[in-house]
Amino acid sequence: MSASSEMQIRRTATSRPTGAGSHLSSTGTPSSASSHKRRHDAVLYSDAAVRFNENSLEQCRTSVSALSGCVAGIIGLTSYKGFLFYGFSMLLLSFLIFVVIRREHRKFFTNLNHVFVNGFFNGLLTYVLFWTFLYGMVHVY
Amino acid sequence: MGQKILLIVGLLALAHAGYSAAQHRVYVRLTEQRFERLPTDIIVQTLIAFLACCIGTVQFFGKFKPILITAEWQNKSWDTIGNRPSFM
Repeated sequence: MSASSEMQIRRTATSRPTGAGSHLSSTGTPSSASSHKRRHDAVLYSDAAVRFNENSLEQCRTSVSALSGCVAGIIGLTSYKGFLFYGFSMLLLSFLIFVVIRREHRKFFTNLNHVFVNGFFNGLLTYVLFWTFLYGMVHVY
Repeated sequence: MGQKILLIVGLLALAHAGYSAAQHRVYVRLTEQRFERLPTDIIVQTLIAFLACCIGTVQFFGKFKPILITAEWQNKSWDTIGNRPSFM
């Protein structure tokens, strides 16, 4: 069978292929086995794709926070201005991602909060690492 | 391909700006002036390189897959999926 590993396809009595994915977003039971009607509010997500999207987003965030740490170190920002620059760079990243997936953001994420709010402080330690390192290399040595 | 070029150019510009900032610092220290801020063109080059690197990164890493499971089923017919070759 050419079906991928996370979904199984079963024939219903109406001979219409429906699938039971591994993640069900509504609270109903999988509707394919016994009912003849299709439920309209059961939406199935593929969890490999959800994980892949989260992974992509995390990679973007880490590399952008490393880059902005380098920039802050080169320019020579200190104390609160440095953290403000981190917030600014995270906002810039969220804006860029939003521009890239503006038309079809429902297709890739369940909620736009995932893009903007959730991982905001994830890259803070990476940022501080690169910031202090570059500040030391450029301004002190 | 264009994204990689953008990334590489941005990183090189950032490295160049960093090196010239370090050299400016050494120069100010040698001539015993007070260091107030970096020259404007270094700051501008750093910020533009940062913007280019950000755009290149988002294009390079930001490939997403559609999460609805029915998205990949649209083009498949039952004959493709239900094909079960027999033993012999």
